[in-house]
Amino acid sequence: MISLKDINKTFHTKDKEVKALQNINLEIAQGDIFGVIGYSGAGKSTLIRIINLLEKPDSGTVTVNGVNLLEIPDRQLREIRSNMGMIFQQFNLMNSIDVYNNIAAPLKNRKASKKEINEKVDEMLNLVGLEDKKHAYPNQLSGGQKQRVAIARALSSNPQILLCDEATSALDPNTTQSILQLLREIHDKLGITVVIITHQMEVVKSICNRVAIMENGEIVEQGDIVDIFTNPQSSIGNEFVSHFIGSDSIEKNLSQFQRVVYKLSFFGTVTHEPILSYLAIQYHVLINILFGNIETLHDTVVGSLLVEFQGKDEDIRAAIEYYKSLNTKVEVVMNAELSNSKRD
Amino acid sequence: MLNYLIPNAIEYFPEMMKALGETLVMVSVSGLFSALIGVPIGVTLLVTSEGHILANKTFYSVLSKIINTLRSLPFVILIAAIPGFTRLIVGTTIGVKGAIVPLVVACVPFIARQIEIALVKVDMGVIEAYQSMGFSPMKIIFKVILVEGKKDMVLAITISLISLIGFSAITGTVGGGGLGDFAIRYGYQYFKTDIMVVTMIVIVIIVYLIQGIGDLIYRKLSH
Repeated sequence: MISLKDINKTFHTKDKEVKALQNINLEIAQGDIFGVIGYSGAGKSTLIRIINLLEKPDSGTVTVNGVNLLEIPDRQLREIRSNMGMIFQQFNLMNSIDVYNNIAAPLKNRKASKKEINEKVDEMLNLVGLEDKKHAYPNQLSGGQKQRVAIARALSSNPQILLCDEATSALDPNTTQSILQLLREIHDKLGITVVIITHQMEVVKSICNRVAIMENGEIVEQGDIVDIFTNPQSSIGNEFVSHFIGSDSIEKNLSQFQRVVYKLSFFGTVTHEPILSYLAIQYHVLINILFGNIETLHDTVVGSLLVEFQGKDEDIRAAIEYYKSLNTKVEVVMNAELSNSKRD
Repeated sequence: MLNYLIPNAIEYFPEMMKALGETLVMVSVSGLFSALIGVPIGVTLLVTSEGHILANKTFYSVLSKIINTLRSLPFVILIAAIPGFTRLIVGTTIGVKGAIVPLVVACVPFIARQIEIALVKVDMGVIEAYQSMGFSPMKIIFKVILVEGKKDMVLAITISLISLIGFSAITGTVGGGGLGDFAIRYGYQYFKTDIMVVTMIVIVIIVYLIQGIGDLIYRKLSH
């Protein structure tokens, strides 16, 4: 549905060049909720603006629904844009007109009839739960309500694609969750393709089914959310995941443990089984849990444990072999014996 | 009592009313034309400036330099410099009619710059949002920039009208009439101090009225 190929974009300022995007290749399928995560300055905002050509790339192709946006006249580009809603970190509503007129803007732009506009605005207000704010002005609304109005405005022209540029970054955690839930509902109800730019792992985790991780203008990895979450390949991917599940601070303090510390990652049906108890009983090993976390990603439950095993070496090995066979991942995050013996 | 305090002002009351009328005509007519010409130029300056929706470096810098040049000419010199142009437009260089042309020439660049400054406040993020909805540049100007910036434009025009009152007083020196001319002629040259004082008070009242109306409209437009 959206395809970016070999996109490059460099910004020239007075004394330096900033490579905002380098060799970006991205495929977003219909119905995806696609997350792009990265720190500030990674090029995420430029990337999302490439999709509707608010920023023109220096090279590469932008294809939406089979149309190469770089080859069409402005008029046709505007038509395609009206088929893509966009919401922003700062909401970007017009403060001088009321909620009704803000939401009606895309409809008026394509010269819809008064009746059609009225019906659609009511429908949208109902969708975002702001029926009572129809004639309020944006300055009378809270941040979360403003973003709801912005979502209603973005969706009023029945777009097939919704672009979200840090849409929850200016909101508090509770409001963030309610907006994410709304986006999820809209996605499920309307079958709309959603692209989300964010620096919050929480956002990606809550609603995305696919994710790309960006650093310094490049996509360092992309794929299915569960794959990325359970098995990040890039160092920045690892950083995001371990920081998010909170294991990063624990991992730093592991040196106090005398034995080998393992990180057990698991997802899917395994999470419903009492695996550790089973290992303890079956293989006669004692398991000390140092850290544990279970998350729901999109529709999949993903867990992560830091543990040490106590018992006979062969029992421990057998327990780990069995555990690995369950569609899980085991890695050694700290090996005190090894590092001690090295020191000796 | 009033006869004792401001005898001359009362004696010359009809002349003063005539002068007041002339000032009001000069300010309102030249204000109207200046706004009609100045606002589009101000909008053009804004949208062609760097990073804006119709950014055009060369065009912007040429237009901007013309505006700056016109603004740097002292008004009294401007009046003396363009009699040919004035006669071409209104057929005379004296009286209220003759004053309006140089007033417009002086006020247009002033209003244009004020409008540009007022409209810069319209959030680029909002403009970007409307671009993302597929609005054309013209629609963005009329449906977003002018709507969102109208209360600040009201303030810009208010300031311009007030400076027009100052300009209009100077036109008295070239036979333009008006309160400035009245105050200089009777108050200064005939040493009738009470006329000077009363005229000043009248001008101050006009300025306060214009500013007050401007602020009122601004508040009405603020949500």
